[in-house]
Amino acid sequence: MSPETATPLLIVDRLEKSFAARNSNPFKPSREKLRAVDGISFTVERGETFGLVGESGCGKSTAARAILRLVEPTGGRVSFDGIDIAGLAPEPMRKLRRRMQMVFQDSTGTLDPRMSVRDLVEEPLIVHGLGDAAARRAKVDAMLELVGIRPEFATRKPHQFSGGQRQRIGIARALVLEPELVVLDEPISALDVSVQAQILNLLKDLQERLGLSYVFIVHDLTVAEFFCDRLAVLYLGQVMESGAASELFSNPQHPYTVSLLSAVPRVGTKGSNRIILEGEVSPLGSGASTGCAFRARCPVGRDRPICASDRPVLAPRGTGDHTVACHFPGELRAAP
Amino acid sequence: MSATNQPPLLDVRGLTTEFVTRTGAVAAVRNVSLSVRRGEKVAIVGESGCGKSTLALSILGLVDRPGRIAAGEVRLHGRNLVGLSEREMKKIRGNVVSLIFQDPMGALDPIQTVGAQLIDTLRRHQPSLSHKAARARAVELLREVEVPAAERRLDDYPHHYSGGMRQRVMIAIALANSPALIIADEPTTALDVTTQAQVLALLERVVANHGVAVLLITHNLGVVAEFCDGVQVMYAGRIVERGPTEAVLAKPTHPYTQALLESIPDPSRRGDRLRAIPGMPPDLSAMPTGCAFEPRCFHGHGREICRTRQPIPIAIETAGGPSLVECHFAAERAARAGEITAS
Repeated sequence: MSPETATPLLIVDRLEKSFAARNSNPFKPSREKLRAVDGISFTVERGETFGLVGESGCGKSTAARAILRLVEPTGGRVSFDGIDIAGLAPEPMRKLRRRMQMVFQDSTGTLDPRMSVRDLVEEPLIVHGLGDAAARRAKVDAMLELVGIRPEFATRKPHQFSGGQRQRIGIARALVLEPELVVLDEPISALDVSVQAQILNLLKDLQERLGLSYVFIVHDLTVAEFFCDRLAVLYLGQVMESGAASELFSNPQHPYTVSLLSAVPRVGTKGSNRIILEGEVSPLGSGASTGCAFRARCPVGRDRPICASDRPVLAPRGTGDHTVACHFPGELRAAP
Repeated sequence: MSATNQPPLLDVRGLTTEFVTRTGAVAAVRNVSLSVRRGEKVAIVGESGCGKSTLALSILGLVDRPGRIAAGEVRLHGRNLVGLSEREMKKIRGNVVSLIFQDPMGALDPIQTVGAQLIDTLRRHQPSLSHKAARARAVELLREVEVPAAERRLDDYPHHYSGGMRQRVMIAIALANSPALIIADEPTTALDVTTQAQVLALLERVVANHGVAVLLITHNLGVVAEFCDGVQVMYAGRIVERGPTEAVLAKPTHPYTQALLESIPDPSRRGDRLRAIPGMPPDLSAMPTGCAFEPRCFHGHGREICRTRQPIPIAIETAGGPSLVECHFAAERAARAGEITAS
């Protein structure tokens, strides 16, 4: 690890990724852009878990892929340990990938069904040309043990494992390169709740033992609140609100965050005072270029002129590094 | 709540559903009994592979070979559905009982308009209805499930609808022939949380308006807490705990129910480890001789009685009414839970 522990491990600065919007006429390419990621900024400190939270279509997965340059960002800057990633040539980028890895939601789709678990976990080491056969094997066995796969199962194929165990294999594949940053893209969403708990515990153990930093992409707010140190709530590719998890969940300021929290069905509270948003996330034709991206569904700003004309900027609010992008922060409160 | 001495709308008794495999018959649903009263909302909750969807399909006579109902009865309005011909069942499905699936795109026909599918459902069970009248009724139904511009959307295809809107269409189709019971299999699992809140609120409203009973199949205990009067917790094909939702979720008696609730991340314990359930559900073709949960149970693991004897249901009195728990230590655990809250 580098000595300059004062600087954050990851700095994401006004990151953008837009796609050409689909057009019905193939001979007349559309000028309209779908802004999947629309100027997201955040930092991840060493050893912390930063959450990107939002509903489907909010751009959280695209943001993660743009950070790792699995898709090319169309704007903004990503700096990893002081290295500007956007300007990096292919070869140094490939080398850097060793230090930043990803765990996917669907581990089955990322594991070659014909390879044994040992080969699957060894593959990243071969790709990066690390160690000789004996050293690699020792490393793979140690890694499998660390994630809780018994060594005698190392010759088995992915289909012989349960979903939770396959996710453990996916984690082993990501961690065998000893990365510093791991992007976890909904790693537990496909799992049963009892298995989710096992994997969350494993991720926490590994973070403590290996000093990992996580970017945790998650739609489940209960999990986000429990697992993340800090997080950003995304809507249509923009950060609506961000800050420490404890602050953000106890004192949400943005109408979207408040509604989102209120929508979660929980054991122990009967949500009769639930705020139910109208409409749905609609990335195109929402007129998000001017005004607030959330205004079409916003119980606070739907009919206010300023929300239609000016896009709110992230501004400090509450305690710590809590920021909110809203003209009327704190106005909407969930009834107790 | 409705009067308790009313005969139940749905009464399942000792239902066992088996699948024939090369190595012998495997029971996915084991000796399950449950009842749903008129207008009641009952949840079946459990993890994948516990048999909750097979139970739903068994009730509707939709278990295909190599599966079969090996024992038990499914009584609807007092009439046993097990053994009825497919022709008879077709008169019941979509009419007296309807089904809402998790994935509306898989349940809707992609090459027929939503209107055509609604009209088809209506006229299948009400042949005297003219096409025009059916269309008018279809518009009414879409309005009821709050599809905007219902008349125009009638001629759209399912792929024109968003996920949440498709699920509304499914609800409209389920309601079309004024059923007495809707079986909803994970109806909001594929939806975003704000859409889930919309669809649950809608479902709650329409079932109250029509007095329809709902059997909700889900893995989400939050949804159960929100929506259902009663809950049945399933594990490895059996209902291990059942009772009034509030009482069961606040004071679970079966160790599995308790462990399931403790697996849900509790933000007040940030930074801690969760109390995960070790291991995995048992292989249904090689079930333990005693309690199916014994190998993973924090209470009974290793105990002689748990390893050797299948527990029988024990009745427990809760604040909300009686509950039934299949655990050798149910009485002891319920008493202790009572003491903890009393002190």
